[in-house]
Amino acid sequence: MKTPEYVTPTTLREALELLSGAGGGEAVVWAGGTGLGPLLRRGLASPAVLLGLEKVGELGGVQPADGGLRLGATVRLRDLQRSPVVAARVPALADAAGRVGNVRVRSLATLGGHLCHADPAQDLPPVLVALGARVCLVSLRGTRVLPLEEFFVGPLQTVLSPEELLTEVWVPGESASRNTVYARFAPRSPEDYPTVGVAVSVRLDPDGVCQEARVAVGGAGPTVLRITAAEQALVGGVLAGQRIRDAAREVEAAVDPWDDSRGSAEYKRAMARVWTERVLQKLADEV
Amino acid sequence: MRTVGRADGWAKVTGRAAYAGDVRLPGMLYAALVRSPHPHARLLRVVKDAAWSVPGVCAVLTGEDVPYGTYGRRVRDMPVLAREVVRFAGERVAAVAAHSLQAAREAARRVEVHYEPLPAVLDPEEALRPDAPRVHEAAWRYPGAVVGPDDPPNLQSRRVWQYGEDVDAVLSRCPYVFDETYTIPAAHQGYLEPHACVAWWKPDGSVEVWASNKSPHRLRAQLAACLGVPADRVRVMPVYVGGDFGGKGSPMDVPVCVALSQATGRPVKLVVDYEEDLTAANPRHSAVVRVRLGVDGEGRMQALDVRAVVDGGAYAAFKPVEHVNLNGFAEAGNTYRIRAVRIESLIAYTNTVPRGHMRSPGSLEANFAVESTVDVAARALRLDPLEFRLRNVLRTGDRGTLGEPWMEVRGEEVARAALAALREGEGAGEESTADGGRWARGVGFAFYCRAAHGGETEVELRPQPDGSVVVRVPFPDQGGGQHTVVRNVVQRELALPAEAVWVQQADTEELGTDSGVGGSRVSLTASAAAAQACAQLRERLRQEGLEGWELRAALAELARRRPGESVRAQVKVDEELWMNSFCVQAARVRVDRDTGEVRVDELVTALDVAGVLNPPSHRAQVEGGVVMGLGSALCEEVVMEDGRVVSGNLHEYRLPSVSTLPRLRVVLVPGGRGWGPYGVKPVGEMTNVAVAAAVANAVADAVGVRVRRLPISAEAVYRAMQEAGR
Repeated sequence: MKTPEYVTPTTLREALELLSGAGGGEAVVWAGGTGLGPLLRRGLASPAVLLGLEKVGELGGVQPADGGLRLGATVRLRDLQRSPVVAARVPALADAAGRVGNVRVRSLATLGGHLCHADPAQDLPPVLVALGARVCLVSLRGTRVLPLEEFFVGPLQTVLSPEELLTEVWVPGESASRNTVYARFAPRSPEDYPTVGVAVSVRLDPDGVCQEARVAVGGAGPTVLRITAAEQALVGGVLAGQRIRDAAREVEAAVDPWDDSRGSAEYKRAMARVWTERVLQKLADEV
Repeated sequence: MRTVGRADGWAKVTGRAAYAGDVRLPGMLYAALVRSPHPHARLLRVVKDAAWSVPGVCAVLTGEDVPYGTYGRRVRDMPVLAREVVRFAGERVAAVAAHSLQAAREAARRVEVHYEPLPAVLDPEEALRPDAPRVHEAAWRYPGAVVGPDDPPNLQSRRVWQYGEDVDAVLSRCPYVFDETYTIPAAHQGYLEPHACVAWWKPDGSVEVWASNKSPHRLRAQLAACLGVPADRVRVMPVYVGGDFGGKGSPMDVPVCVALSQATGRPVKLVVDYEEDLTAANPRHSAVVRVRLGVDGEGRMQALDVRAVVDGGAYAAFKPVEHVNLNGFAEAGNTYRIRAVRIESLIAYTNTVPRGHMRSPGSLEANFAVESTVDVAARALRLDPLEFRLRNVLRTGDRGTLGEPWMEVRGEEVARAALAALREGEGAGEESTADGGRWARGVGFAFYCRAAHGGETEVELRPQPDGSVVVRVPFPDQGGGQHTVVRNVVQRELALPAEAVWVQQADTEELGTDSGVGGSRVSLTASAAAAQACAQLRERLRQEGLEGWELRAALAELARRRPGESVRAQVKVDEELWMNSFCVQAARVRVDRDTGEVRVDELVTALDVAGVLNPPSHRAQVEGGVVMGLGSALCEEVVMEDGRVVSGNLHEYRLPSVSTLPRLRVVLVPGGRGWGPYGVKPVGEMTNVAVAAAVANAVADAVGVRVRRLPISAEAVYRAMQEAGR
């Protein structure tokens, strides 16, 4: 293995030029390195060029936007965890960011890197999908904006083309008016990837009737899964009893997990149900 | 006078303590290994051309190029590099030395190996059947083998310990017989430093070695036997060892490093990466242990029959004891009065990673099985599990289960201390009960008793012109605080301040004898040797007419009069001391009724102690052991699929982290009778053993289900609850 060349553009434009100029697939983006580092070490990735983003100021920053958030791709998870703006508008996101890995990982890992790594058991995809987040993908040829659930293709696979860069994540303002809860179930160790992670975001009317629901589950399929059948089961009634159990059953039926060190497929399916029930109960209790 | 700070502390926190990986010699080359991807295969052909084409490559060796014999700690069955056949996935097939590590690794990647896969045997029970594929053609022919041509072909060792009446006869008379089977997987020792060594075959034919090895004198003998040279041609140099926990006692990769050095005429360094260490070093033996416990109508244990079928992996080379078995199995049931005991341990060769020692080898396997069974029996007999244990606990004056004439047994005292500590902690962590009945709570106990063993060592004192003393010892400090213990003894004996006592590790040429760090023996042997050396030094001062002098002035004067003079004391402590230590552990747990998640809220450890040489180091041994035990209980497992280790990184191989630790409550029960001038008892291998059984017993107390396989995962508890309809 040759040591890759490490280049550090200072503007987004320069970064995109390097990405497209390198002939597609030659350059790999390096942000925090917590996902890519181990892949390089184990020879699972061997790019000729590593494109470091630390000098591209445009990609950083947490900003309020239209009642929601505009999150730069190179925001560290630790900054997401500690940002007063994030805590005020979408506390579930700050909370989830604070539970990824451990403090050493969070101090390096970036939001963009976290999403582009696309491990299906990561914590932020379910939360962001439940929040209705969109991602902004930019190349020299233009910009496209996608709902996050359409960004993921499979384990470690996204729709990002080699010359594209994920620049921003948008959390819509309307999500701040919903209640969102994320639960990660990592029984071996809190530093582990979760066996399952369940995020639910709901808007309830004053009588507690569910007006809108978004349900997303991590760790239980090839990508984060948005489970519309569960959402439909929730809308139109009060979050309680049978309705909660029905929605959780829909989750159990929809997930598509596999066996690994964090549990068998069968166990993960059952746990997706249990933790959906718990998350919904927590949302119901908060009313 | 006692300074409790660590003798090695300053060197370690300032980064100046040298480990094998820190050694740099002029002209030194770097090595990398090529390992087999197959658990069992014929080696057809190795093509080296592409490897040689990498600039900077100085040697590419295969088994045919190595002129040495096989090696091992007792049984010499391991080849330096595989020849003709590979017997486990991860076995060394070729080795490369180059001017840079990068070049060595690149060349290793380019070595082309052609294999013909063979049928592999991956399960020890299957391996012991007569028609199983053979791991070795004639294992009984290896030097040190304890099996014969008529034994099952894949047997590494069969050992039976028995005492008292005929077990089957007594069992047949018992109104209650509990028949239980438990499974303990392989585990990694979890040291921070992966295996590392530097070897230099010098032009005069002598060999110098720096290695992450805790027994330098034994390493020298093992290397000499492998290389076919006299032991005095091999010199093992002093380095710190970056954690051991039983895993750093073998030659491991030193012989191949020597071969590369001999082939190139240069010193060669080999540091394996952690993934290699996790997949291809010497993890703990995995075992399936069947226990039959017979109990009479009064709740008294009458008979214990234990049969363990143990996976030894592809080579027996990493077991040091004469019978090539695991001494821990002999402890099965030893905390109780039992009239008839029989324990059998069968270790089989399989096509999996060779197994080695891990802190109290065999003990955890035996203890988890027996102490779980004891709990099952108590619950079935509607007896309180602690009360049942106390009714049967061995007492001073009793013969041990295998006839040991113990000088004392403090089980009851220690158990009462554990119970008192547990009661003090009652209610702790229960404030958060507003959980809708999610958590079920329980407590569990487990007993452990371990014999102390002797060994030999030597300590040299060299008075210095400034009135200080250099203390030379033949063993490394692998993190256990051995050098600190020696310093404390010398300080006390000579009434010197800590800064006037400097402990150094000698190389194997300078001091003549040592059993190495292991078997929890160093505090015993080294405190005795150090005290004896101090007495000899005082005698020398008297002979020189210096006895009335202030001590440091006298030492300075002796150093001035007799430059370079030193005193040496050798001690050899009997293997059998009939001294034991008793440990009782109690776990307080919560179990999530819907998911099976287990949270350990508190672990109480009560330990029988005598003289404590260095309280903080002693405490660290106790607490470190508990945490290690917790890893075995809840999360650690070397996972194998089709004979290959798949938990090859520290993300998949889960060690406990500080965020998951329960409250650790340690109760030292003083007043035990120790050994030697300081009346000490071993501590290194006491507290990691019974944690798993205590946790399993607490889980059973909480939710009424029994997990019979380690680690106790949330899913295992969930499944057990589902099966029980809870």
